[in-house]
Amino acid sequence: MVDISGTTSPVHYSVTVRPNCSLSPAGTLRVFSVIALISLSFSLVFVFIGAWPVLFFAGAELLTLGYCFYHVLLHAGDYEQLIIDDDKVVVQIHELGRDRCVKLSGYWTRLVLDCMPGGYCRWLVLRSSGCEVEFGRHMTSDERLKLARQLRPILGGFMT
Amino acid sequence: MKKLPPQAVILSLLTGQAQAALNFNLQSPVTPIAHQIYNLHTLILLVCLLIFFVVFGFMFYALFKHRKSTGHQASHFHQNFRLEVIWTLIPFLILIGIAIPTTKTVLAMKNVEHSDMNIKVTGHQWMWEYEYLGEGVRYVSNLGTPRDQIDNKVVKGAHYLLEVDRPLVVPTGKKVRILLTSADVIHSWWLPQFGVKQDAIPGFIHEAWFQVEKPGTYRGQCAELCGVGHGFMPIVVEALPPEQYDDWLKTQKISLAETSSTSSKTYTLAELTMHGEKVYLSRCAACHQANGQGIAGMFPPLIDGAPFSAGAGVTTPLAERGFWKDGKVVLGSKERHLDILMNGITGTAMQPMAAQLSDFDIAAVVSYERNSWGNKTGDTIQPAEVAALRKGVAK
Amino acid sequence: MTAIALDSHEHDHPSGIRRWLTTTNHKDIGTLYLCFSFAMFLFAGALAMLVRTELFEPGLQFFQPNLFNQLTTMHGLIMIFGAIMPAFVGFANWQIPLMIGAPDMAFPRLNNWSFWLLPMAALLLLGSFLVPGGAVAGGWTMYPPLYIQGGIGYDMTIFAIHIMGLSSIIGSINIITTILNLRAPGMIMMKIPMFVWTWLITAYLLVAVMPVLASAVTMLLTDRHFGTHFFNAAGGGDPVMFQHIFWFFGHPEVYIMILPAFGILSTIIPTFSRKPLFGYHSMVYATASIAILSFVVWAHHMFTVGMPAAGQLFFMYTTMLIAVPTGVKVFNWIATMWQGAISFETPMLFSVAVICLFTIGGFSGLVLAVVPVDIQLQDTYYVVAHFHYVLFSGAAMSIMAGVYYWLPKWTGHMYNETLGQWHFWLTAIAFNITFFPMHFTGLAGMPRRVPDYALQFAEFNMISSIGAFVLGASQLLFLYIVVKCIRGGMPAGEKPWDGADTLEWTLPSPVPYHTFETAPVIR
Repeated sequence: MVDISGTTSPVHYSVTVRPNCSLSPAGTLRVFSVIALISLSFSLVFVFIGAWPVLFFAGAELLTLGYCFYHVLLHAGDYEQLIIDDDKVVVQIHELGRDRCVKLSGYWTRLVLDCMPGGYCRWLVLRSSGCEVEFGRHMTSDERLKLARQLRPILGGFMT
Repeated sequence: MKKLPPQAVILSLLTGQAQAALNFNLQSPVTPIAHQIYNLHTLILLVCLLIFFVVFGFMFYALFKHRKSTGHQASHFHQNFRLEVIWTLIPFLILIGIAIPTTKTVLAMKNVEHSDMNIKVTGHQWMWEYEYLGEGVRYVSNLGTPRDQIDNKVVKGAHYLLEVDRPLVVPTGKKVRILLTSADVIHSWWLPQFGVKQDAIPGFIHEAWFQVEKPGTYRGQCAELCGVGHGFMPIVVEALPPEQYDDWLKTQKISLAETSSTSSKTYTLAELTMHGEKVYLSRCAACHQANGQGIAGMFPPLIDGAPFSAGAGVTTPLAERGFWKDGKVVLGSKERHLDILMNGITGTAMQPMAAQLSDFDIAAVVSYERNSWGNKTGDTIQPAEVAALRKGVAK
Repeated sequence: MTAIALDSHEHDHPSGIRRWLTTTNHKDIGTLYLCFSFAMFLFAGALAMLVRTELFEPGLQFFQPNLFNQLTTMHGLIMIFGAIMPAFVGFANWQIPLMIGAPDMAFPRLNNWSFWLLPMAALLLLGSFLVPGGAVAGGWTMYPPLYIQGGIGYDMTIFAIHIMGLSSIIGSINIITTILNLRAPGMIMMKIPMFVWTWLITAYLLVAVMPVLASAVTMLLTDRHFGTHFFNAAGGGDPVMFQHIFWFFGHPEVYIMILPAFGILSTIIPTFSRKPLFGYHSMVYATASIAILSFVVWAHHMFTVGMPAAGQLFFMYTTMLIAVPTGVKVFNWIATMWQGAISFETPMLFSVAVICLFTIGGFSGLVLAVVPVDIQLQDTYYVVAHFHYVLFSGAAMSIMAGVYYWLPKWTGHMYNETLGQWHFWLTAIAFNITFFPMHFTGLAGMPRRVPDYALQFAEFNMISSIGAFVLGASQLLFLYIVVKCIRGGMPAGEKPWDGADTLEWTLPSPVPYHTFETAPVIR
């Protein structure tokens, strides 16, 4: 689920999409420590009775789990912003603390919503004279559809 | 002869039939522990039945009375703290009620002290070996059911798969301690009417005990999957009154002394193969099959020139002994053949059989194998040769 | 600005096999998991039919003991790792993101891998039937030293288990991060649907015990080929240590296969009782306590290995304790139905049957928890009856209930209710004909995993076999119903069940193409 905030007026439209990180960094640390503590403690018991490979496998798995949690935390601050101001369309993508900004010419910008047979809307793309930028990676299929419906009167669009 | 009234005949037929055909409960116990187990099971079963009917009485009442089709309107309660505490506590109390008598039985089962006699039981793939510790009596107990019954060629006997060639014999009224171990994989020595089931684990010795109340023949089976012969290694215990048991033990000691002096006789090939076939079918056929073809990838055929491929763990020792070359079985020398049979091949399923078979058995089965299924070596091996080999090993 | 409709060929959708190989959509992956598990269910079921054919009468008629042992072993392994577990992961993939309002799983690409590892493992496992020596024949529990004796098929099975374990770990890490991190705003932990809770706990159990299984089979492998002696007494090892390690994995594994089933029941029963789930909080705590207890009961599978009385008593008490939270769950479900407005569509029929039959399995579990009785019944058909009551009528029938419940959501079509009810009654009756008599054969003293048996067990075995054939055949009806529903049927609408209240039923589904053409609504 995303946190969509925006304003709408005929001349100015902006929408910000950020993933809802329902687990705080402190919460992540707590969850991971509990899991790690339990796994490591019984692995040590196994080592004690002679089955040391358990520690190896448990360690490898905890590293993977830890990395996955870390990866999620790294991307917790990501967001995407779409601003339509008169004749300018600006897509700002904030990822891992860095900003990427794509400016499209408003008049030529078209909206492409790509849906699979069965109704899953996998991409929402803004396209203008050969330049293409994806928007809404953190959104559910239904939110993409909803946003596309909102944007269609403002931008031209089609779907595939 | 007095004629029975027809009702009595029908009744006895019916009950007899019912007893023979359908058994709904544990077998009738014959040891103090088995009695306790039987009663514990009955107790728990009754408790469970009671809970089942109460709990599901409520459920089926709801299913019938609170149906949408009868126009019942759903209420919306979804919590009742007092009720939830009560139905957490009641099962807890019931469990304590079950745990108390159980704990007593567990402690009694584990109490192997003050035994009157000790028997060492060794599991083999796929037979049981019994050793009366301190008496010098030791023998192997094999499946007694003929192969033809298993293969549906003849009518099955009453004790199909639950009969052995030599049962374990114990005295009644004595506390018998058994010491269990295994020569190869894990087996489990199980005698339902005694309430004894104990795993036989290679490299370890575990104990169990029983005290049989009345004389009789009691039957059980191996209860731990131990390979292809798992279903074919029954346990039969014959409980004798103490005096008869003492007589039996005496005759065992005498016959033991006799067999050690029979290996001097010379046999013809026909005599050897005839006896050899019996030994082969009871001891070797589970792996190498009755037709000597073995099982692809696991147990080698015994036929000269038969194709066989398997892991290096199986083929390398065979090749070293001259019994396998380029994907085919070769019939090696008879000395090597005797060596494999008597000493086994370490690290494979082939076990040493020297301790389990008599000189005559070994001589006969090797002669049989070397002159059957297309093998035509004409070798006759005499018990004396085997006895000589045994002495060689002893040196 | 005007809307210009351009033609739509620029973004090509991967089609056919490529679509399924590359998909990262949780719904597609969920479908893949479910289809895979259904295929495995039918295959392993066919093996069970062969087993029951051989056991129809005393004597060896069709299969020699070696092949028979392969059939029973592979039936167990494939049902557990190929059918039940992937089916629940399929449900998780489909439902968890919908139920918590997440766009997809946290790691969609990992999700794709975790599925595609499974067919590879299945190929290894099924391929082992064809190698010299055949498939594993030492029971799904793989006890050494018997397991050390086998051929190359045994090594293939070890690798297959490694791969399936890897798949499970990736899958459960994905599920944990998704549930913890991707919940919709306002959806606090004590508000997530019961199904999600049960899966969170299941995923944690998987993370905890899969390394243990992986190392157990690795030690078997090194004992077989690299000269180690972990389990060889002659080299200073201990065969019983394997059993401890295996069951430390194996008992939580049992709950891995039943907790998601509890989640499915807790979703279906309120729907068809038109009443909220009774005691949500105590359900959560009961699930958590079952999971915690599952780590301290493992040795009740090994009461006959010769452990000291203190050990037997400890594991007996902990095992009995599990009856308490399990009882709480059953009572809560019944209280949910109480005073409801119950209707009996196929999913509800299955759920009610699961409660009844699973409880019978629970009772036989209580009987088996009692050490002296367990020693009498261990490795008999009583145990076979017990775990089929919890795994078939507990897990597998919950999966069927869940499939009927969500099929309208997944496909947009209603299944055929009449056929569904037929499937239910055939399954429930045939199941009991098959497995109830096994209680009696077990009590009377028939050991499990035997290809042939003594004459006094003949009648019950014949009854079991007849029941098994009907049970097997009725699953083909299930296949027909599902395929028919996928290909078409009455449109299901947004919410075919009027009592449903979880989040997925508020979303339009499946989204048809043309909705885009309707007038947009601007906030």
